[in-house]
Amino acid sequence: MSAAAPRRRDLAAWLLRHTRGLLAPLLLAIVLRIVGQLVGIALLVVAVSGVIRATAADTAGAVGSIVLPTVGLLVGLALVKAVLRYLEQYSGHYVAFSALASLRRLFFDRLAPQSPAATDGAASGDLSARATRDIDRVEVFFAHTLPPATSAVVVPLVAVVWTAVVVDPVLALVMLPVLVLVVAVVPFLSGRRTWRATEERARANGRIAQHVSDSVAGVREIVAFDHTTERLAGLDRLGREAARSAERVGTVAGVRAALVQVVQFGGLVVLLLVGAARGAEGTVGWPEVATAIAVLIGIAGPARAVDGFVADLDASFASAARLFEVLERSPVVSDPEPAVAATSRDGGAPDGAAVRFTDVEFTYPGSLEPTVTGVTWSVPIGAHVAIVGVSGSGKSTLTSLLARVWDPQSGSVHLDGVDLRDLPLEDVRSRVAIVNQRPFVFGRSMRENLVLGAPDATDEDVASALHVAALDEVVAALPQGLETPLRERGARLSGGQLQRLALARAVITDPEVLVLDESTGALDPATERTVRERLAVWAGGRRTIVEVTHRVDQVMGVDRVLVLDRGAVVEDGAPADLAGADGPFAALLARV
Amino acid sequence: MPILLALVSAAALAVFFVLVGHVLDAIVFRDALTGPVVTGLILLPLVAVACTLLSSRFSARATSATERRLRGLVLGHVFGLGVMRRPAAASGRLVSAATTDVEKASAYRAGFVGPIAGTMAGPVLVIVVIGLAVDVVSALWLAIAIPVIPLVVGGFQRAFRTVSGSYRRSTAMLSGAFLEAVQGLSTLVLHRAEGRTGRDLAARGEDNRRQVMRLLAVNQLLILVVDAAFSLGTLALAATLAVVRLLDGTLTPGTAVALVLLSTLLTGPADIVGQFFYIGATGRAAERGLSGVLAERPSLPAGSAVRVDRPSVGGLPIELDRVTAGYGDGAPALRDLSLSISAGEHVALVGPSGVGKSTVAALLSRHLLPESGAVRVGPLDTRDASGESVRSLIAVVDQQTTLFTGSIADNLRVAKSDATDAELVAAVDAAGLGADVARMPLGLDTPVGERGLSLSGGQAQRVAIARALLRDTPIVILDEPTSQVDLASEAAIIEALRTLSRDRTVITIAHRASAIRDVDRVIELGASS
Repeated sequence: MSAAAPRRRDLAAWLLRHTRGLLAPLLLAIVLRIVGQLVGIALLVVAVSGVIRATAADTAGAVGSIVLPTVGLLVGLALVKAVLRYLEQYSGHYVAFSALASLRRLFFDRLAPQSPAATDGAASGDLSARATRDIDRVEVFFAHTLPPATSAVVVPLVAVVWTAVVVDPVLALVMLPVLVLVVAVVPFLSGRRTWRATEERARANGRIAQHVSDSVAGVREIVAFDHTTERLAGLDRLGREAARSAERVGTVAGVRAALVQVVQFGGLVVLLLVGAARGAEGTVGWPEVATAIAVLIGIAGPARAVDGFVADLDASFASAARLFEVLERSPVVSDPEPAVAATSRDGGAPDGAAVRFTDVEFTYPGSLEPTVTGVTWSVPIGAHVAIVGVSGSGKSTLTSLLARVWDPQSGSVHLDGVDLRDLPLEDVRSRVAIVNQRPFVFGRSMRENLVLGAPDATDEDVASALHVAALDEVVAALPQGLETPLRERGARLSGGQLQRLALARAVITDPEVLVLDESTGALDPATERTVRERLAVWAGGRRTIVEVTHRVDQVMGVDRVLVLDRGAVVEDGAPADLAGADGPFAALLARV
Repeated sequence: MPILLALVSAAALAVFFVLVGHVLDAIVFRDALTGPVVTGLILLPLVAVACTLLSSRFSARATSATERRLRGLVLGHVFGLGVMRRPAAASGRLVSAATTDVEKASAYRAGFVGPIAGTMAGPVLVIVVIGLAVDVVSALWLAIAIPVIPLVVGGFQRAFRTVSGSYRRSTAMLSGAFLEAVQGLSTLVLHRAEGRTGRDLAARGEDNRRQVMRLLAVNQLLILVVDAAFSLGTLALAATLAVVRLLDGTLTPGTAVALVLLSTLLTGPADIVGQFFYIGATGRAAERGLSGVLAERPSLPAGSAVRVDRPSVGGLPIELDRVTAGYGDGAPALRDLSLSISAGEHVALVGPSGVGKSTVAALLSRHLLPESGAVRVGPLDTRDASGESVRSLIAVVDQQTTLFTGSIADNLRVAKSDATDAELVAAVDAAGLGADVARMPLGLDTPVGERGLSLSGGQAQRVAIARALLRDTPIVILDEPTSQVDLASEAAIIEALRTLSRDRTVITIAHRASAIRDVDRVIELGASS
């Protein structure tokens, strides 16, 4: 993992570096908001000054000289404020979408070189959360937290200065402490406690999510052992814990908000009492006091935004840190230095091996035990071989090493005589194709899914790939043929059809080595036979097929079988010979 | 209670502003301030603040309570549905329903819809205070204006509904395409399509953003209308009334200013209408998601609870009488099958995959009822007895077992929640796991990592056997229990299964008879049906 959590200053610099285009619209949104809120205060002041002027006037000409101008000004200001608010919201949304777009682009561009190692398996759920929740959180900060926070400081300051200059400096002086307390002191009280409570709540929610996903995954066990009551009671207990921590968070925030209000009302009362005392002395008139009151009430709303800002800031930095952690990780595999890079198919393997593993050991990061160890194994060009073993024996890890998703900690993997680490990644991936058990299908058309790895494929290429995967008839039966959209992650196709689509998608890239990782399990026996026959014709002794399966009875027809157990090779040979011997393969065969 | 708090708070603030007017008048007319006025000025805000604090506490408590109730409801429902064939995506949806949807729906119900009545009632009280303490005529005018604002805003919202609908769809599509690319990134990289997809995504995002901004230009007019309607309907109106009534001589300068200030307390309803649109949409979508999950009905009738006294040794008999059964998706998996297994007998059920072996296990565990014929487990007919009653007689060891987050002891107590430590140790020893556990630093309290990662497949399978031992049922079903176990652990597991089988009725399921040892009888399922 990363050496140290980045400091906030570095995080902020990092974020700003990647969101530069945002500054101009962000600044505009902030200015619009400040002006709009000042107009809002002006509305209140104009209304009060209308009352003040009406007091001084005589009734006769007042409608023309006071009522109409006041109403006219109010209506005008109200409309201006509405327009400013509209523009502010619009530019805020512009900022939001720009931020979202830059963050998403950054996320994708930085994650791609780390994939598939960083994006497979258990990590994928967490990555999706970072791609959505954390990016949204940072976006919200830019678009909806920063402008209010800025205006919360600027608007009251401007209003108080105006009061000092235009109304009365002493009254303005009374307002100043209110401002300092509300904007600069109260929001920062008990920050550490809030932070701890917030983290505790996040942990409690995490435990709930874990409990629920365990429960859904283990329904069979829970129902079989009549354990539902205990399980529900456990969930309720976790719910109570989460409620307690949520309450702590709420209490701290609530008390702070209450303090802000108390300070603001206290300011009003002090202002009134000071005004009354000075009014009695005759040093200030009631109009000045009324105007100052209007200003103080007017800034109450804008100034309160700082409190929300502090809480949001913590959450946003936490999200930014989570993004940073993923995006600044270096990829586990990368292209060789140009000097080392071997061009493809230069010379070929002296022993005619398409794939050769030499004393390979590999341990997943964070795991204590190696997943594969001491694997030495070679596959002749044009052979069809199988790797068998129970789940967890290291079969799929071998194929990941073959496609250079990972590099082994010791030993080496050669493709046609060249160490994979000396080949450009692009080259490895065009020469080795993997078909997985649960292929990922994109919500685009059948054709787009098919030519994913071969965008320049001709119609003949497409037709022959479909033929190999026995999909030609399926496609013909689709309403719009190849252009049929595969909605909802390809939900329109059956499991077997999806696996065949993935096979066609690999075949069309014309690889030297085709890896089938449990990728025919959902086919019915007749179709599977057809596909195997056509694959054999397609391979034609030139292409190598490596098949991974736990169904040992399915591999009797292949050239060689490698038996793995607990990450080590326990047997290697022709299937008929192994079946006759009383070894591991025979033991696996006896189980089915 | 929340309504009462909102009303008290609104009244306190309204009276506070009235008192502000009094103080201003005192300055105008050079009167001295009276004690009660000053006391009111100090106490009333404290009352209002206390009410706000209490009511936010109330709504937080209500939200948590609703969350807990809904979550229990969803998970209880999932348990009630029982073991169903469910694709992985559907499981994911259940989890997000029980977590995210529950949180959003609770926040909407308890945190938003709950306090609405109070927010709406507050301004009414403010107008009453204006009528009593300031001016009846002004109060009447404001009383007419206040309900008009939400109506105007509501009308505009209706007019813009289609715009905002397509705005939401556009943004959702954009997020969807991005998330799909992230989730499918491995596939993209292995097909060398990541660069192309990244560029394509950026271009589509840009197009979409332009389109959304155009939509927003129209959609956000609503904000303009809300803002203008609200400023005009409250502040401008109140100011006009204040000036006019002051010129009439009805109002003093202080009360006129108070009227202006009081109008700032009338904002609640307009804000709510605005929020209803944005916050409400998420909450209502979550509620729809929840009711979708809760609408799924269990496929089996409940049946009645029957207590069966277990025989101390020797197991119970099993009978399938001309059973036809399936999952309602095409041809039945089993047709007209009859089987009779006597108490304590060890039987192997063999046949190629798809012949219905696992259907037999599902029928015996009452995860499935026969379409015709009868299944009898000991004295119970599965059509009459409840699932709990039937399953209290049966323990199943499957190909793979699910381990829950927690310690090994927690996982064993799934089978028997009141098991003593001694019982756990005995079960672990009998399952051949004693030596492994003894090597672990924390013994039975060793945490089982996410997805049981700290235990090997063979160890997990022995936990399953220990669970079955703790359950101590007269009937045991072994459904290919060694098919996914590493070769090195196989012997230990077979030995543990032998211990489990002693003095019980045992049905072992396998593809072929050659995988089965120690049985009294082999039943070939493909041949008999």
